[in-house]
Amino acid sequence: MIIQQISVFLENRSGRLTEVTAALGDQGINISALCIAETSDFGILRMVVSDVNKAQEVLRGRGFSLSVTQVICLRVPNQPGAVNQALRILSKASISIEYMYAFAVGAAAFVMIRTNDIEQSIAVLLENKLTLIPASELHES
Amino acid sequence: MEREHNLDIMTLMVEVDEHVFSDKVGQLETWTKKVHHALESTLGISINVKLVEPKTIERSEGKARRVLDKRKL
Repeated sequence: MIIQQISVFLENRSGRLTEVTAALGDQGINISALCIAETSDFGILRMVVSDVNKAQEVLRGRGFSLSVTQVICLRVPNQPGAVNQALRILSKASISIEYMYAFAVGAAAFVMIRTNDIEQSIAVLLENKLTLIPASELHES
Repeated sequence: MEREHNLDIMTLMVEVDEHVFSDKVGQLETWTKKVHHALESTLGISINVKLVEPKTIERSEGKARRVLDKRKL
């Protein structure tokens, strides 16, 4: 249930994001999820891609600094209180959330979560009958 | 080097390689502050620190251009 996420250091200059998306697109690498954490000078682009190893090679080849981190993808019903329930489970298990990004479409909402203990997060969420999406499902075309 | 309202402002550009890079914004900001404080306590002047991507600082085989003076003197 662990998903490998690539994080890339980007300067706040026009065209930087496009260079990443073009490089991945040219190599046939699909981006399944993406978010940017930004400051005044730089941003951290976080994304889940169809081929982590190839994406690393392509981006390092273009001089980008990057790292791979582990995240989980939670699916909850697209209704009030659904995310709260999951967060309470994590909080009760003394797990801290480092960051998350989410969106909802139709009846479902998807939440990408990075915690301080991924293995434990998976264990408690599954124990409480929550649904985690495996990486393979994100990359199906 | 830049000049704003008769004050000279120095900004040190630091390339972020993978030894420094962190997925967390807070860690990168803490690191930037550390460099800023180290410079200030050693040199006695306040220098802005700006993180930039690897290989964005100009390389030269001859005399390297390490100082960009943008002041209109």
